[in-house]
Amino acid sequence: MTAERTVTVSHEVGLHARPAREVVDTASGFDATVTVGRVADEGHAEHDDSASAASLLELTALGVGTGEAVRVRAEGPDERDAVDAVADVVAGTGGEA
Amino acid sequence: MTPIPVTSALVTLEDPPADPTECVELLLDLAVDAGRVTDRAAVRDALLERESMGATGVGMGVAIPHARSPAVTAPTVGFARSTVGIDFDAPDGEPATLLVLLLVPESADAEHVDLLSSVSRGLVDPEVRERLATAESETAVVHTLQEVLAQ
Repeated sequence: MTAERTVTVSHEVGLHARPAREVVDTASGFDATVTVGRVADEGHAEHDDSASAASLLELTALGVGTGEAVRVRAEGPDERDAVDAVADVVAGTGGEA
Repeated sequence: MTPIPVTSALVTLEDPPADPTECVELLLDLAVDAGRVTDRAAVRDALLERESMGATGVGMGVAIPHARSPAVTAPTVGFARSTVGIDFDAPDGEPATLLVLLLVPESADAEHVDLLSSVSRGLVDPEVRERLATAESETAVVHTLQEVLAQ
């Protein structure tokens, strides 16, 4: 099973610096494996990468800017809680995109 | 003409100071000596302000101190590596052994994000990290970084 949510990044700096660090801290608190991918990249073989939400380097590499839509996926025993917690931090709103 | 972001003058294979701030200063000196910075104090402040917002240790032994400033003349990549590792407060707790400085001019907002993400994307690759860790010359480091930037 996989849990997923799509959210829009509202952090002014994008998914970078402090917001990215918060994502890593949040994702690290769950057993589920959490990934973040840019929705616009899906289906483009060349760019269809997703980042481990537990890796600041991978999140930085993703280079998501403010206003971009991303898909958060989680797989593992606590995937529902993990996807909700990480998606909220990714969005920066504490709620739905 | 805009100079290429990384040259051998911007790379050192000598061990930097183990203190993160002193290490950032050493990387900055490479950029200053290479003529990429018009006001060292201003760029120093921008780099240290960014570190204070959350240190730039991104894990996997990598730190990417970076800043955007009007005192930077062209997009610039600097490099040093540490044998002991430097505490850049990475989330995975790993000390940084690969230290990559990124500087961009004030005007280059999109370029800043692009440079940061392309360098990060390159460094996610364990082979790239290995090549940077074991390079025996500044030129070899420059070649690896240029390949990363070209992707």
